[in-house]
Amino acid sequence: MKILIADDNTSDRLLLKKIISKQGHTVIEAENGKLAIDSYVKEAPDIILMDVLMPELDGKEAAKEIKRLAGEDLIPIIFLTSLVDAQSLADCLESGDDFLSKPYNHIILKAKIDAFVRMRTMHATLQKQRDTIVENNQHMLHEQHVAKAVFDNVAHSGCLNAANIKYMLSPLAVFNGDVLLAARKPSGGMHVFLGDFTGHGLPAAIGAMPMAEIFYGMTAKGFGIRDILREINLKLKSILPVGFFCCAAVVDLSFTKRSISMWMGGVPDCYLLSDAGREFKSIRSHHLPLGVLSSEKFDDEMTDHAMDIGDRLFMWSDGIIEARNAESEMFGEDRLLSIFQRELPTDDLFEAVKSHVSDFVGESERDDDTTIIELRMVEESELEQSELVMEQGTVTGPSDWSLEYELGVDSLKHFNPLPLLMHIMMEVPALRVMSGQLFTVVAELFSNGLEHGVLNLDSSLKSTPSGFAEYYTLRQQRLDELKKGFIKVSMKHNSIGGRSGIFTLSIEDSGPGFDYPDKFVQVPSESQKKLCGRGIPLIYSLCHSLEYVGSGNKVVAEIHWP
Amino acid sequence: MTNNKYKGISLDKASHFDTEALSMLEEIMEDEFPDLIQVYIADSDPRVNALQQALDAKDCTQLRHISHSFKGASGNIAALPLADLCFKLEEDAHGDSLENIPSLISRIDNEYQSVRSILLSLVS
Repeated sequence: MKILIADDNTSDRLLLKKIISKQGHTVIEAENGKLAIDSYVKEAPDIILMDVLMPELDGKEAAKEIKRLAGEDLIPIIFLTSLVDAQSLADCLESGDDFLSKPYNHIILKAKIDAFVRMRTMHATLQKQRDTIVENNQHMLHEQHVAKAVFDNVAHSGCLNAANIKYMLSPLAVFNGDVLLAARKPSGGMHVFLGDFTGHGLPAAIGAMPMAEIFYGMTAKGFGIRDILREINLKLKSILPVGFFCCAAVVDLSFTKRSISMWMGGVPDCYLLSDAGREFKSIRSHHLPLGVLSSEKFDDEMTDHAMDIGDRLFMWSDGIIEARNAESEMFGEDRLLSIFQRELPTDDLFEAVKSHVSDFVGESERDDDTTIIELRMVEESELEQSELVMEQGTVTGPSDWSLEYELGVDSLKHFNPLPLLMHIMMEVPALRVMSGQLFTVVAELFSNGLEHGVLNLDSSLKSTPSGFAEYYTLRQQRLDELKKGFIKVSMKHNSIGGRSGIFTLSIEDSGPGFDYPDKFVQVPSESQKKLCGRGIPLIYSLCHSLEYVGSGNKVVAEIHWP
Repeated sequence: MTNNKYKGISLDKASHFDTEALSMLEEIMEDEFPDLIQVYIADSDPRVNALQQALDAKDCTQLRHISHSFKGASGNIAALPLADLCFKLEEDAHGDSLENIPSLISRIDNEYQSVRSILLSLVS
């Protein structure tokens, strides 16, 4: 250790120097307070022994200045004093760290120096550790922000900004254990997913990544919400540790049918409110959260609810209900419900819920993520076109190809080929931007082939409500009993210089065919009513040409782009 | 260094020093003990005169400072009776009356001469 002795008394200095040198320390000397400060700056000693009364600048003033210069560093200053009254000694501890009375006792001096060396080492270790912690923390925050950017791109993308959605995500940590996903379906309509993982922060958020990928990927490929739920459940079951799961409220919204199908597992009740606010319906969760049950035991049953234009569905994570105020009291379902009983204009409800919760919580610490979403039934035309932006200059992907795909009885009974077919079409960038249109065409023609062709069901059955039910009972029954039959799907794509192209789809079934008219006109004649039952006018409007061939058991559709 | 004025001063070590502390000091300082004594004497010789001058000028602050320093240095070389006298002077210089001070300075002078002689005898 380097020790500075500041004393105007030469003999005292000499004695101290001797004692300290003998203890193995290096000694530097100063004759007054001013020189002591200079010496501190120049030599950076570890400990200072300072006489209280000195010419030029006395010990206490010098000590104050040195302490100021040292800032966060600990520089122990021991005052040398021949004063003996308690007050004077106590005064030493105001500007210094300790005192040593004259005449010097070399044993006590050694003990004090040793003690301050320990203290200084400890202080240095502490500072180093603090700096390391600060550094690590900054590093961690930086990593988290980068990861959050990636996470947000995956988990909070989709069509959350659609005109019929209002939402709020308030993360407790940088990462959020709550997940909010929304995607337009290629066939029209929308999938919305509100998830609440066990816990919060990074461990909770990490499960959201594969979940969001499955949700968006499968929705874009035309999978139904039940298949998506099964896939997510299976994925979470396999990746999450025991005791971790994801509560969820999942909505399949149909703009054309003006209805929603809901699946809820472990989330608080959702509220469905008619536009005028007169009718109020609370929807309860009936399932276990995602990631708990095996695929065999998983129940994908959905409940259907009608929604008129302007009707709203409110969903939330339990962070809203369990939000606590300063008295540790929970916000609770009663408070939430009471907001809806105040007959506020329906437009103001979302903000009202937000502000009530935030007023309730006040300054107290949040202990869970809170997420709210309001979903409104609108005309689909009110929403922005959900066209995928086609990247400029991408001529990658197949341009000239064809395939034939035949499904036998077993496949027809147990397999939905639409996602696979969509997947193949979506490899062509130009077809990707018209995925909704293509999905409708493929889905409609395939189900015609299956239901009217292979299963020989009469579409006129569907014209009455009771017939509708009968139709589907019969469909299931015939499918179960099916012994022979097939559907052959042929697809072909050709592109001209990558600027335009023709996609040809043909679907042939093993059924007897039907009596089809030669031409299609915009206003269907009496003879074309059969086609209405088969949804053909809609398909026709989407295709460049649509042709039945042979006995009517084969249909060929041509779609041109751009 | 002998001077008529100081004839008959006592050179009995035990009555002027804490002998135990003094021998420890010798032990600590080793071959630098003579240097310490030289430095102490060089510092202290002017102090008696300086005290007298401060008294003549009735400068109590100066009296206190010198006696304080003198006390510390003397204590450190184990000359405790001298340190005590200096302490007494330091205390008295706080008071209003300078009455006792001339005699105190003279006693300090005498005591210092004894200390000085003994110290020098130790290192010669």
